[in-house]
Amino acid sequence: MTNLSLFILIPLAAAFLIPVVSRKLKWFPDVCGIFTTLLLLLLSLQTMNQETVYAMGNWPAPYGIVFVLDGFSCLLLIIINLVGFVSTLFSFEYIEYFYTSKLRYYSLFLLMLAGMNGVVLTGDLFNLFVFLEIASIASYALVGFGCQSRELEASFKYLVMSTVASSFILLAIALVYGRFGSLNIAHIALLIKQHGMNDTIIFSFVLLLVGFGVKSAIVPFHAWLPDAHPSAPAPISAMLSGVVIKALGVYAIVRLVYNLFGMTALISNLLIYSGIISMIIGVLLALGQWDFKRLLAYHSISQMGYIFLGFGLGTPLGILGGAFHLFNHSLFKSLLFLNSGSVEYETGTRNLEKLGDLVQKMPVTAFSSLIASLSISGIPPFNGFWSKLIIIIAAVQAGKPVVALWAVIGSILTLASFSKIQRYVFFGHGKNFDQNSFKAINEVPLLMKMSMIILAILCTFTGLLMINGVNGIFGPVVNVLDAGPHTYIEKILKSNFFIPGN
Amino acid sequence: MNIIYYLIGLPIAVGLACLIIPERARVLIWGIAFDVCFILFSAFLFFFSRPPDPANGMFVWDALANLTLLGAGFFSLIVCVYSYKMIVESAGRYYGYLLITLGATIGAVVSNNLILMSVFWGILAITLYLMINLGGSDAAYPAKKTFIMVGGSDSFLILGIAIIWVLTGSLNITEIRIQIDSWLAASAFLCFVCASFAKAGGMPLHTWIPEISEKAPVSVMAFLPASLDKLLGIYLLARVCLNLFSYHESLWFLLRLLGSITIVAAVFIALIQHNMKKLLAYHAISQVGYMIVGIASGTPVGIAGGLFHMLNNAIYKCCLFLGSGNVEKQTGSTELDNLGGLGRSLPVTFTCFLFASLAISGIPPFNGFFSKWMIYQGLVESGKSTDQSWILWIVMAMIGSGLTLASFMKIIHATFLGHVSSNLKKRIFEPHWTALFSVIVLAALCLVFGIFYYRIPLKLMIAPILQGINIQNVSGMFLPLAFIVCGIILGIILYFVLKPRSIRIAPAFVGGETPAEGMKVSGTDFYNPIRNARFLKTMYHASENKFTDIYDVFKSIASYFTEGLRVIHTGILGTYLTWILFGLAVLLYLFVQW
Repeated sequence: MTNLSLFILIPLAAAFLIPVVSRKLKWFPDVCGIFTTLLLLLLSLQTMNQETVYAMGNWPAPYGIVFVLDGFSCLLLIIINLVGFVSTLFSFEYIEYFYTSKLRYYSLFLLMLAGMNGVVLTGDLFNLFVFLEIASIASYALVGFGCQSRELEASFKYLVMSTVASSFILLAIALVYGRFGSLNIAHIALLIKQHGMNDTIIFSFVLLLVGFGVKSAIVPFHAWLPDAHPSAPAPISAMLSGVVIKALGVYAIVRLVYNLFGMTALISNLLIYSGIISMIIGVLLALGQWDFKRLLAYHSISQMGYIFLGFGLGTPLGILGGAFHLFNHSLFKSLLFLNSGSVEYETGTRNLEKLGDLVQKMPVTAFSSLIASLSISGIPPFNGFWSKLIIIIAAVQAGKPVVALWAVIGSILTLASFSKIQRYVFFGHGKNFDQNSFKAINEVPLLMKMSMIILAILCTFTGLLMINGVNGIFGPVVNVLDAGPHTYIEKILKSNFFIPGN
Repeated sequence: MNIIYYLIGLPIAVGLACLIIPERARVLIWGIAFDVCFILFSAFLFFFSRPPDPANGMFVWDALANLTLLGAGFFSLIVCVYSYKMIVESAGRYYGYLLITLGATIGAVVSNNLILMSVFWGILAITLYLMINLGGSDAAYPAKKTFIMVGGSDSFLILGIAIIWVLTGSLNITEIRIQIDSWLAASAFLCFVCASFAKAGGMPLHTWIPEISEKAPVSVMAFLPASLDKLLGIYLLARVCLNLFSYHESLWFLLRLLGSITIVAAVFIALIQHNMKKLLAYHAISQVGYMIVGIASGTPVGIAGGLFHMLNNAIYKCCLFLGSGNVEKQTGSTELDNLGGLGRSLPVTFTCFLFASLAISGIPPFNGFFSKWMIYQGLVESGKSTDQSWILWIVMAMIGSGLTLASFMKIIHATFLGHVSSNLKKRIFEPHWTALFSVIVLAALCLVFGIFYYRIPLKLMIAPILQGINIQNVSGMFLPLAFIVCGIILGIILYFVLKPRSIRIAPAFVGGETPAEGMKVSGTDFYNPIRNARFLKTMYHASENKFTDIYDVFKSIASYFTEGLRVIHTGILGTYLTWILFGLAVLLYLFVQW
């Protein structure tokens, strides 16, 4: 059995070790970064199919702080640490080339990782807030890492909006604590069951929804994302779009809705329709973009819409689709950001009109980005197809064929905007393309290539999880969420308390 | 393990391997690709009379699959042979994609499970996209458009599958038989039709075919839009109309309507084209209309005609595209203005092209005539029972047929007859024999499938699909044949009677100057009067400005919304914070109500 606190202690320790040691040893940040994330990845793979409640200092819930590992947090742990590992692999050469301070970069990166691991593991509402802030603050710094005016502006906007969200969350937690005198999620759920909802709880729930809505960049809380994600260094963009919005936003919302407050028709509709609006608005905005990374950033909003739609349906199939899409999106979106990083690394630009004809010169980048584009557009046999398929089937099954139609339209528009990327960057060229400027371009260095190839392979074959892996990885997710608050309370509080019936 | 797995896996595995083999080993790659195509074609011949074990309902290998697979194997082989000298650059990618396409086609056709079918269907969209991109960076835009249209229609296919699953609880083609009695079932039907139209090129989802025709390599045109995509699209339509859904009057009426519009509208646009490949592309669309009308007639003879036409069309359209490829390879152009008088230097290509042109125009004894005739008969039959407007469909189909002949007269005159254009090189030879061989085989098939129309294609391939009908009884082709033979004889007599007794050929005299290029009758402008006719002029204008292109229409709608959304994204922090507060207010309101 894995000691769950390792997921927080290891990156935290490494984050503080790096600035201390690497004054002397120049190679230390890279090596430490890669090994830490690799170690975390291996640990997270080990947690598969485990269900544990780990009480810090052996103080049982609700008196002490607990870490809870179940199917859903396990899925998130794997995603976070997998993308984290691939991103550090990519950073090795990329950060060297564009930026100066590797040790600060890796410190912040690992802090962010520690924060996210904490968010998905903790069973305590205030703890969740603390880890959320650790990850957020690290990400503000990383967004502005280039220290140029645009990057600082993006970072500032992100900082302000995200802090507003954090204060909402903090206020909500304070209200809940004031009402029940407890911060343990399971215990609060139990108390809500015993005492029923009242105005304070509903108000704090709305505040939590808004707060985490901002963190997950759902429309109309999305406005920070298209500035923040493109401004960060490419591997950080991959982290932000691939996992941060999921771990800090979607995970928290889904956990609170399913395991704390319980799913109702209103919440279900709210998630579905905000999902559809995000899906369509995000992709429409993406269609008009000419900046490679900005286009990708808008697609993050759109894909979050699919994930919300899946979870919002509330049926087991919907949850399965949402969880699977969450997993897949983290793979292909981080791959796409790494591709954009590679293109920028070689050509020095992200403007689609200036790029062109890279398929011959950068075949690995071109074909891995083709795979990612096909995945995100839901073209079989790549992974995005399967999750969209499940979401669409789930929507029809839930008696909402019109919702499914919107999902299909969103999918076609996604395909349109990714065909645009393929056309202007790799297969053809735009108006302002200068043949001579790209004469001397080669493929990117080895580690960057490797990280893209790893993700491309995963994008191609995780569709096969449909056949065998559904029960392995996604089955527990569905079980945890579909069971509702009751089982969650039972698992964490054991039999110390009387739990009113379902 | 079941043999079908190998049939699907072999070409895909070898195709993936071809992508890795270095480009230098072009002949090796060709040899591998040829062998695989040959093995598969032989396998399809072998399995024709004894279908393999369907692996517990995993696969469905019936007569319809037999017909489609045999066609797919044959055209892959022919295109592979043709490409030997024609595809020199990026051969690894070309043959790799070709083999993957073949493998995915087999998968799509024999899958019993609808989701498995849609997976192979999606792979086909990808290989189509990649093959068009082989045309270089000019092909990138048409490739993009194609991918959005074909790939987008696949999304509708998935929606259709989802609805079917919810309606019937099954995903197996053999178990599904849906009565269209709710709007949900009707929309599932339309989703499937959408996918098949986009693939085959039925209106209004046809616009990608003319777009790619000039930019993609011509063998790709012959391979995908002209033959394999037709086979697949019509295969799906036949599956949907024959197996998945049962007859529904108004929806089938809609199909007939779309089919006849496709026939006429596409042929009108084809008439005025200046580029050989683009003209052929519009005919590729127009011919789909016949197949749709045939299958949608809902009568056995019409369906048989539609399927027969699918096969015939693939044969002659493939031949025409490959012929135009020969012309392009040897002269460097397919613009009709630059061509002329090639009949003398390319006699074999000319003969084959002529055969295929006659076949597509529905002249007996070529194959196109018989399938069209059966489609007409099917329409008459359907008129007897249900559809009162059958006469309209027949008239439109016949107009289409006449105009097809007209536009092929134009193309043949402008390319092979008339004066030799001064833009051409002095010495033009026939291409390599592999290229000629494939064209000859196809042209010969046009004739064989025409003369032995009953004994070979109808009896062996098509009758098994529609069990229990006797095609020979219903086809009754002797009378029309006799009429047409009489017509031809009459024409020949008229020609000899009215022929001037003596002809003197003299060079044009222009006051001692060399005759200018403008004095040559190029054929390009044959149908300008039609173009300038009052009503048609607006139609042509609309189509040239892409008002009728569904892709561009939706593109402008989308960009309208995009612009609107960009206006409100001002980048000002205050606005964005207001949105957050607004969202909070809405949520509070909703929850307070609750």
